[in-house]
Amino acid sequence: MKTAFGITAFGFVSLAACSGSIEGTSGRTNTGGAKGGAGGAEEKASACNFSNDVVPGASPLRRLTKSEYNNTVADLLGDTSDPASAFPPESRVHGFDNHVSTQTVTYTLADYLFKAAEQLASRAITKLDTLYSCDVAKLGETPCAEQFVRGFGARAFRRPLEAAEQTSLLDTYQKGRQTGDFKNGLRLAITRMLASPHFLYRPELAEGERKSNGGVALTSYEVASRLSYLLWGSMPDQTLFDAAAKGELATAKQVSDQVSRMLDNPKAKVAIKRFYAGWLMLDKLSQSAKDEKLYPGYGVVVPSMMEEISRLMDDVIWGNDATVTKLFKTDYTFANRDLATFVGLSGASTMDKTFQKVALSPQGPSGAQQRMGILTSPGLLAAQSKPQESSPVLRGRFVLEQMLCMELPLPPAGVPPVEAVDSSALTTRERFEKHAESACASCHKFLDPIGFAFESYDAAGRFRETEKGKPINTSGTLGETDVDGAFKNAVELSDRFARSERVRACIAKQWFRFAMGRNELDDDERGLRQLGCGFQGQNANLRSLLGAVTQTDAFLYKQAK
Amino acid sequence: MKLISRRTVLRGFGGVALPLPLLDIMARTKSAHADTTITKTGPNGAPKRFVVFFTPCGQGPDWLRCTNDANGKLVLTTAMQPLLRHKDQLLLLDGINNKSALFDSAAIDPGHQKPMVNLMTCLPSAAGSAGGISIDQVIAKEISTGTKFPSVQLGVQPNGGFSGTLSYSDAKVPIASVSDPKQAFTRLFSDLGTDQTAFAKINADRKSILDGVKSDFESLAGKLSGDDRKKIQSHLDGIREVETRLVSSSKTGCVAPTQPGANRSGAEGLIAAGDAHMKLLSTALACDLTRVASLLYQGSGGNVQLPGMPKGIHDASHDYGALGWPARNQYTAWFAGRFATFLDQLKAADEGGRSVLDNTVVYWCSEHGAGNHNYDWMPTLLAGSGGGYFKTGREIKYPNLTDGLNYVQYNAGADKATGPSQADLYVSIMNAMGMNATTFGVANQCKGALPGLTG
Repeated sequence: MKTAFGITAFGFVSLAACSGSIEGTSGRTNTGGAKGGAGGAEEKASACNFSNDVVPGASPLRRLTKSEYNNTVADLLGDTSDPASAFPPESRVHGFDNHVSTQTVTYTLADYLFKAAEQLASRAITKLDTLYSCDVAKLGETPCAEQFVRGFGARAFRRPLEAAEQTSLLDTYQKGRQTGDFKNGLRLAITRMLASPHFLYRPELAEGERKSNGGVALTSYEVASRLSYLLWGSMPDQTLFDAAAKGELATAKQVSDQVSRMLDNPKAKVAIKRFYAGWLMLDKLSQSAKDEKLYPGYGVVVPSMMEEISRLMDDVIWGNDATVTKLFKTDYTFANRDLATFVGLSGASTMDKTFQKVALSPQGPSGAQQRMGILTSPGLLAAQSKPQESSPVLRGRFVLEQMLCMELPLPPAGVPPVEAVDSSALTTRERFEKHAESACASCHKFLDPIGFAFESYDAAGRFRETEKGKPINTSGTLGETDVDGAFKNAVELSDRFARSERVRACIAKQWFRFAMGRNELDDDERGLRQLGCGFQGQNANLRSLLGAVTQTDAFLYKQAK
Repeated sequence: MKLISRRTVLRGFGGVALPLPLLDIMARTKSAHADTTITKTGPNGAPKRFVVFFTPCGQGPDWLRCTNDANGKLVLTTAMQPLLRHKDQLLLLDGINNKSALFDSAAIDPGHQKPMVNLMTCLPSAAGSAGGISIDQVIAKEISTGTKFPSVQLGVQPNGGFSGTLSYSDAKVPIASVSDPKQAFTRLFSDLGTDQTAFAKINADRKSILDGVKSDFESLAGKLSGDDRKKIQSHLDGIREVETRLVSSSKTGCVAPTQPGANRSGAEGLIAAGDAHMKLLSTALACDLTRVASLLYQGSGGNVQLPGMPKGIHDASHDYGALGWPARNQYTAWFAGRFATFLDQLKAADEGGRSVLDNTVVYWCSEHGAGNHNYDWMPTLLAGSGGGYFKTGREIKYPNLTDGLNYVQYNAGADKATGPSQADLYVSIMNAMGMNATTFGVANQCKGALPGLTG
């Protein structure tokens, strides 16, 4: 069953056991206005009209990620030692490192966090003059300590301290003063603040104004933190703090004005890179390894592959045509000599170590267009491959889950393995087609056509026209999407994706997941619709999407307790 | 005439209902039987330890073809030859099932994830993660009290996520491993040799800070509910434990190993970092910084391709059937060499007439049996007798559905896999570590301690 776009694309799309068709309705997690149905005319018409209700989703307690921790201590203390890099690795959900379900702290991380706080504080007291100014000789130690705790505390906790907090922190200062000097007192107070849940987490405790339907307004300080961690991956700057102090982050317009300013700051580029690194699962690229006999030089070129993706993504997102259309259809990319040589881009011989813009012009014996847009990026293709062979399954799964937001079931028990690559004269496609003849067919008919489209790129992302002496067959038919139809290769598939509203809705959903640090839930139907309504059609703009999430109920409000 | 130790005499007299003459029992203790006293220390009074050694994708057929000679002594096959010098300290167990994985019907990748999250918990998975606390953490709570670390997790190339995680402190709460040897070095040994007076002063300040931090967490927890509150509570529990472990690495004669070099990727990185981690871990155990640890070479499904090998370890493990897993055996042999080196280090650390290895149980395991996604015939090798608790130097084969080489894939035929559960093994290990446990994991999947391990 295929349904018109409108409601359906925001709902959960699930390949329920791959039994037949993709579940095209709003699916299992939707409640509220757009529940169920096949996307009839009535719902379609109302999809972008909103009542005056406020319906935020949940806002579970969030903890600073490792990168947010590093950025925050750099902004707060001027300490660029990146202490969180030594913390235990983070788990990823949907590719993202900030999912609340992965943020439980037990002894080991608690120990790391405490020791890091100690070390940061020890360094901080060697350059106190950069953190505050108070003439101890003139004013005395205690008034200066009070001033420090009030000023530094408000930045560390990202809001003014409560009176009881101020008193308690001064008490800690006094204890350190008793066992050492003035600086030792401050060291203890700083350590405590950096180990405090008000620094490490982002509690949103204030009782804000209650809106209709259960929404509660955030305080301006809470909004400031949401904005800065979303767009900068760090604490608010002085301008945001000043706006918060004046209560000037209360309206959607005030928030949107800050967003424009914040997106112009270089910090935004770094933060948004963290988003697309998760969305495109670039950690798989950095962890990837290939059989050096089959793909000599691969290990050395991985950093360049990473750089190519970053440059291409940044070029699209921050350029003057930040559309999804362009993302899937760029006819150029960025490469240095190493990368161009490895993957066989034209003009490699004239290049050097620096990255430059290169055209993806048609080449090769057949004169076919080899690459176009982000999906044919060598690094992405290599990341979704095995060490010795390409993987139609990994690539198909990546595209279905990350680009179409479909949920794939797991393989059933007792799956016979695919015939080994080196014991067969068959091409990868032939071996996988054989594999898919069994009980596995019901799922592989979704996975494989997409995966086969990328068979013209080997496990290292290099273009190829033959495998085992046979010409590569990359043709297939896309089904169960809003851009169904036949395609000859990955370039044509990318062209279909560039036109797909389902793909655009999925990108919006991925950004929403990253922005909220959680999966979309029942209550997010309205928030997702608010986000998706401005992100349709050929001109849907990625840079606008970044800010648009701040205008949703999910971002501007929290649920009543 | 050899002296009969005071402990042996006490046990001989203290036992209930002795069926044999006293001296006969003592003779058997010396010759054939292990010391089955449930105690947390070895015969020399030194602490017992438990170490998990993990390598991915099961083992080659040579592992399963090991057997005993006519005298009941372990015979090692070709791939297992690197372990020859430790033969008398080994206890090879065949036919054990990962029973909770066999019966786990949860929607989680059955290839490498399911048997991994079940491996140490013996519980069905929960929401794609582990269903509860892992065996090492249960043991750590009992035997690793008062040490600098409750347990230490080192992962050479863990690959992240559930696949690279062995330890869970609770359902869905993984304990990640440290993979950079330099970072592990800093964490384990940074305060080695700190002057005790200075250390006491540092800790006095730490107490003041931690008092404040605890009160901040307590008051925030009071304002939250549900999962948010649980999170803050868990963090607070962690901080309380930080406070109880403000001890320095002060054991006499404890010397830190050389600081390891920078981490590298790929096979070379795996080899170098693996060696560095082994040295760090054996030193940490000898220094009594912890009594429970794990060393994971690669996460489940890992596919590193070592120099000279025809393919990666994962791909080699799928060369089943007629090919006879030749490449898989090569990996078993290579890891056996690394395992032997680790045992050398534990053996070299003397604690008053006995080595650290003598009082330790090192458990070499994997997420699969023969390597093709089967959860029966889980490769199980114990090294070190746990203070003489296990009778080592032999192989025990438990009857199971298949002969191990003809595997049962995934949970097909789960009810027919008749061999004992890993949970039974873990009960035995808990007993060896001085815990009076009788069950672990899912109650009806555990029959209590494995028969035959102590003699």
